[in-house]
Amino acid sequence: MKTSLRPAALPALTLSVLTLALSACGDRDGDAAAGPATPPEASRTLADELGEGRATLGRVVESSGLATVLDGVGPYTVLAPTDAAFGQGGADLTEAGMRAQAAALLRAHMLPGAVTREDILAAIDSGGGQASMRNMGGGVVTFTRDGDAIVAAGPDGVSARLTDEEEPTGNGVIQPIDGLLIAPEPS
Amino acid sequence: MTCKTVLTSVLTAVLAASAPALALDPGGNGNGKGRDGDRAEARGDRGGGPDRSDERGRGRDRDRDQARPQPVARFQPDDDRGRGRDEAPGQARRNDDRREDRPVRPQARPDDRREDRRLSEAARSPERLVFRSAPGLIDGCPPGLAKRDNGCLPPGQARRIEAERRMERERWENLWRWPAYGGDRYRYRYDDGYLYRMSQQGGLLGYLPVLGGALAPQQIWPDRYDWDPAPAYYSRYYGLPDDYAYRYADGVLYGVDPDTQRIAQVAALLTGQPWTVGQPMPVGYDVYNVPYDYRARYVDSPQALYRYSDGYVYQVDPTTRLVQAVIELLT
Repeated sequence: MKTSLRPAALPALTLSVLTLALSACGDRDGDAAAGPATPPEASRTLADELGEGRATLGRVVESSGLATVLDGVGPYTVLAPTDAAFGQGGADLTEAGMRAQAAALLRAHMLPGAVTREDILAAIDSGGGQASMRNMGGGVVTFTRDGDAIVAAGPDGVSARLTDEEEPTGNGVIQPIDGLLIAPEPS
Repeated sequence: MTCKTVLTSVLTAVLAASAPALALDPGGNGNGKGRDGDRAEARGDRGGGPDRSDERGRGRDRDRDQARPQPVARFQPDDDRGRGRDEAPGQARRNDDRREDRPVRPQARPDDRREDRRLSEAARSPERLVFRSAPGLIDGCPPGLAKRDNGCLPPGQARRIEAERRMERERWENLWRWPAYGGDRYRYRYDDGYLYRMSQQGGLLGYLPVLGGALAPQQIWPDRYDWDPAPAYYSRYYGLPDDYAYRYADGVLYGVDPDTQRIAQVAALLTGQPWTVGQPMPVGYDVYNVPYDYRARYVDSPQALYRYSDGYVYQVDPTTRLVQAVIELLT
């Protein structure tokens, strides 16, 4: 079934949208829900930042084979678990035989584009208390508020809080979190 | 943003949003559901078709394209006809100049960068990759493994080693319960580069090579594992070296040596979400995520939302949530 817009309808539609735009001119400028942010220094990449100060996650990145992706154009947002968040499981994922698991875990913690906390909060507020974002592993991460904090939950409901400060880079954003969004089974 | 700029943008948006609706025909090839049906049918054909495991190289790829129905709409501009699937514009491989896997550093885009291109202006050759809804499962067992009721087992000593490692791997089985893999409808077991899909009763249903395993850099592309050629747009957007051909499979863009079939690099991760003009925005894009370099140009407003996915920015109607325009970020 074609849903094409009929050419004859274009002038009317154009006029109506222009009218809408004119009526909004007085109060819209500078009042967008999301807007410009200061571009970060382009020389530092996600791979650069994740490789410094995050011993476990840095090794997981190397093990996964995704360092080139995180050093590339992107952009991606990485929900970056702290070293403590990995616990014993972090050591598993840095072993040679676990490269596929390392890659899968990383994909579950990556989002498309540059996602800032300001934008997450705005989406939560406009979305009735929650906002969802696709991850790079085929699932969805759901964001909610807990007081002043932002909580991220993975597809299975395993959640973690955004912690510390976000770190914009030349090819994305790092959002530190205090837990994993996919929990290992108890051993 | 000034009022004048807003008006200009709105006028542009209206014209642009209408043109792709005319050109891209969301009810035809642009309909993801229809394509899925075609793909499912094509996959069924392949599953019962001849084993192509003895095919090699680009000749193999040409044969494949000619021998089977085209399961998905592919990037096929006029000047690209007759190429093998691994040959695309901008991807010409230089002989004797093969580079090692190398990172592609993000380039700061100057203020006077080229204008982004709405696909309405490029409708004659829309370089859009149409994603499969699910990874292509392969029937049977990988070479060298024997099929058993509960999976594909390695022989002899490898089986003992497998038993020793199983406990460790099972700790992370949750990783494979992705919606793209069927969620809880199936059980999965990872072993030595492959993911095995099992029924809830334990019967083997097929296997899948995965990123970091059989689809890791330096691995030979697995026989019978299907892929889609990446549009040349991705080579330009991601600034990929032209030494390799680029293949898309299961959310990953791989750089592959077309002669040896060896994976040279993991070039990018993609969501694989179908964005079609005139269709609803996919689920999972509630948060504004436009790249920094483009935030000044594509600002959410009561008239339009902008979302980034897989190298494009999409303009969305805030009320209906229908995709209005697809915007290339390079020309």
